[in-house]
Amino acid sequence: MTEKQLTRQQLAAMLLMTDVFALFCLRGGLSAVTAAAFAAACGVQFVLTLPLVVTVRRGRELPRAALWTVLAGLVIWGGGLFDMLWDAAGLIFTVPGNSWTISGRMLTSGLIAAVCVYAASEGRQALARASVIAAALGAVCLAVVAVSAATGSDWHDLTLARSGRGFLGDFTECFAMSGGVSTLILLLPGTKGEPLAGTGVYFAAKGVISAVEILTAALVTGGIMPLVTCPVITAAQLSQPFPTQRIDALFLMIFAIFAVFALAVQTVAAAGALGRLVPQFTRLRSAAVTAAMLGAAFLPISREIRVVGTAVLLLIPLAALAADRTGGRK
Amino acid sequence: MRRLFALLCAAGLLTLPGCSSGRVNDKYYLRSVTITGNRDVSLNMDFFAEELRLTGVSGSSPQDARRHAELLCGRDIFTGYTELVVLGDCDSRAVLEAMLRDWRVSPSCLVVYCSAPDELADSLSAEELTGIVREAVRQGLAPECGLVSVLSGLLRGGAEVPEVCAEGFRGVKKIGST
Amino acid sequence: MRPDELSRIRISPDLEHNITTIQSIAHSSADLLVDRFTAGGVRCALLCCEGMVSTSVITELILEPVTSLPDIGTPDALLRYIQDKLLLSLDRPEVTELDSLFRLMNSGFAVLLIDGLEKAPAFGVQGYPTRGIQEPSGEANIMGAHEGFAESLHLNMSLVRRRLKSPELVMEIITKGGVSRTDLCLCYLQDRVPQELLAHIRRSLGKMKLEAVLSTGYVRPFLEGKGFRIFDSAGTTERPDVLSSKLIEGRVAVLIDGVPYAVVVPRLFCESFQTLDDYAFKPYYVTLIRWIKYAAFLITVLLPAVYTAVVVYHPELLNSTLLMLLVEAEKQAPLSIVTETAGVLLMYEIIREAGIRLPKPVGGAVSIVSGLIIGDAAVQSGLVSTPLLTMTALAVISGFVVPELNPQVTVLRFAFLIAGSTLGLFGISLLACAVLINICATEDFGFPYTAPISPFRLSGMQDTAVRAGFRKMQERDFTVEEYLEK
Repeated sequence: MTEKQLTRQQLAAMLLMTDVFALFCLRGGLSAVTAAAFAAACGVQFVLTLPLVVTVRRGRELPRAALWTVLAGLVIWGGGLFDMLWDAAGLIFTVPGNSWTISGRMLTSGLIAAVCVYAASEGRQALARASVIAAALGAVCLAVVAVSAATGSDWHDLTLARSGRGFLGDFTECFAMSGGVSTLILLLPGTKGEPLAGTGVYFAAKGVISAVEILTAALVTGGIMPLVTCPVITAAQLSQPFPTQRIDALFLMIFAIFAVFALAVQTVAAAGALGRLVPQFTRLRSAAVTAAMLGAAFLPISREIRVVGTAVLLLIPLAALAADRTGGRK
Repeated sequence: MRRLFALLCAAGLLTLPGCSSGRVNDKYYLRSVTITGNRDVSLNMDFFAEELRLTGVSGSSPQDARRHAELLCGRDIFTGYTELVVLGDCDSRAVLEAMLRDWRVSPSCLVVYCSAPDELADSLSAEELTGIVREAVRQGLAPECGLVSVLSGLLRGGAEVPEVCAEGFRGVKKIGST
Repeated sequence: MRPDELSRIRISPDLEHNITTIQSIAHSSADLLVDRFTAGGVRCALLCCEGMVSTSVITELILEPVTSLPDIGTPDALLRYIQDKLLLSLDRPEVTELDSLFRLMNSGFAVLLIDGLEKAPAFGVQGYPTRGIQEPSGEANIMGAHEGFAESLHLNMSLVRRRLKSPELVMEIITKGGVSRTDLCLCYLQDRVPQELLAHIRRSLGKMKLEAVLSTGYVRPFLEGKGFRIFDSAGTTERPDVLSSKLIEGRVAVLIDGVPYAVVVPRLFCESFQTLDDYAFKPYYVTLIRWIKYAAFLITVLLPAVYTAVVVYHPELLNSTLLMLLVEAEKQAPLSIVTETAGVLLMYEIIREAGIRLPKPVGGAVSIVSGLIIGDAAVQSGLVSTPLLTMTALAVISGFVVPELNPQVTVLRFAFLIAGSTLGLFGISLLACAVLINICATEDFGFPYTAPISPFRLSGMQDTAVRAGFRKMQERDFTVEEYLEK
């Protein structure tokens, strides 16, 4: 049975939830320079996906070797997300009373993985529809958090914020946090409409959301940036719309929802790719892929490897196009 | 298979802690705290809606002192509602950092300085003191002294905070300057 | 004897043999009436079920004209005369085998067996008592009609036909249920219904091999997608005006004989929040009420869980004054908040169920006892605190705003309470994700249950997020096929 196609909004929502979750877990300092660097990096990533757009327009499928590479990248990125979740769980106070302990973190990760497996098992279409709703609600909640954080802050603190990485460092950091491009490579062919518009919408939204989130975090935590582990999380936790009202628990809900969807999107894309590569593998694909991601979380993948990995993934469609052309000339 | 998995999750959830506890009045809710001491900190604690007041609870760090306080009063102490932190002679930056990270104190919690915190506890209640400080800030006599603002200043070399005493508002004091 | 076996037994030319066979198959049932007489010089017998036919109609329209016929001569001539010259009823099928004979007799027809013929005319002379048209009990209305469906299939068909006087309205009758032989009526507008939907429904109903069809619950599972789904993707309605509006949107309805509800396919989640009154008031008022309903749904499902989670695990979300109020109120309560909340919700469900099942004369006692026990004694004794009772009551009352989602709301309320009490807001978020995924996975023959929210259709927001005025809505010419995902 042919799978139904995704809409542009669904594709963008699924990918953006992954990117926003990665931003939540971003460690190290943030500043206005970081926001600019991330926005620039999104622009460059958009340009690098143009070969993918051409591939999709021509209706070409990626060769099996490329598909395996993308699948591997997806599993590793999923593992990276689990790793980020593990680290952030202690800061978010998810499980009451002991979220910073090993057992607490295991419980947090385990529960999210369980929901993620269920979400992926319902299929791509259900996840896509749910992503739009969750992303819209999440955007509203994040806007509330951002506005309440920004209105209570001193704008002078924005000038105090330092990332310590410089523009180039922040630029490459965006690439390190963009493992979701492997998902884009797998899902774009199954999306309705003009692929250029689809990727354009996605990267434009990613650039804007990243910049806004980073600026908000830098504004709120600028004065105490050296003390902060995850600035975005801390900024949300410091949000107070009214003097006597905190809403950091609202952020806890947003974090949990984005974590589930971020991981579920990777799982569903990877399960789909696995199905194409190994058609005999018909059952428990989502569970197998999630287990692989959990295993990949223990791999010692450095930031540099992630940067290079993202760049390589983005270049795969270009390589495939070039191979196509060379093959055609022969 | 899916239903079995869901049932197992539900059964597992039911065994988690939370069902057996879950009484809102099984904690004391901290209203204000006075901190002194460099090597070992000493805390005086005032609570919401309780006659209980703890004085001179010590520990190697604020978190350690808090655990001792919980042992003394026999209940958990919830610090998320803390309205006022009175700093005495102590490492202000380390104390406030610990409060933000470990105690999850509200960012709007007021930070003030007092040279004689023990006298303060006898003369003014937490509610009165908080009101005095808020009024001083509102009238422009004292700078904004929320926890995050003060911590931010301390990271830059020093922060100005309202100074209080047994008679009330005294003035402005720069803390944490090297 | 099974229907397929009965259909192989044909009516024989021997009248007495037919009567003996029929009485034997019916085990000499006391309500089987056999009236022998001579008409036009030919021996005949009129068979019917006592209580199913109108005695006066049979006497005036069948027995008197038929028995007063002059000598016709042959059985064939008698049958021709009756069919061409005597209009004994509007509905006059011909029966050739016993399966149809029994089905018609049990549907209130009278069958005339004629000696010497292998076929028998039947006459629709139904006269069984039925409940008349009454106001629907579950779908109250202020400005619209106060008519609801009744148990008679043909009456229900007429209620719809009166409202949609279009020749495109098609009503197909099919019979389901090996033992009950219940008539089902497929209703649709031929020029609006997606043909794939119709084909799917026919195929799905064809797979139904039940022995009896006694309520909508027997039919709905066959019209819904497979897999565990929390919400029903096939809806029901008790109102002919609501059904007519659904048919105009290209949906298919299934009316069931003996059931005062119609099953409507496909159904969307947002329709649970729409009533016919929405189209009788001004758009701004209706838009406000719609959003109140959405909020009420969230309140009824989430409030007990969120209250428990916040008070136990995230008290910093409350302001200090409110928290101290709760602390004071909970001082006397011997049980944990979770246990209190679960107990009160359970008590409410027991009272609600008792209120439905109790005989009417005793029904008033339920409200007195429940009000006294829960509202007064429990609070005064300190078993339950007042803020908690207030929260739970608010959640319960909010559920009355969307009564058709009551089964799902009840279960979800408890599920979220468990999640919130064990894992706080984190648990509630995870469960909410799972429920959202389940809702989004619900679809009926390709129609997503969450349309037009997801997949998003801006035009659909005219009757979902707001209620646009009719001048604007009339330009849209909406059918449900817009939401079909291909």
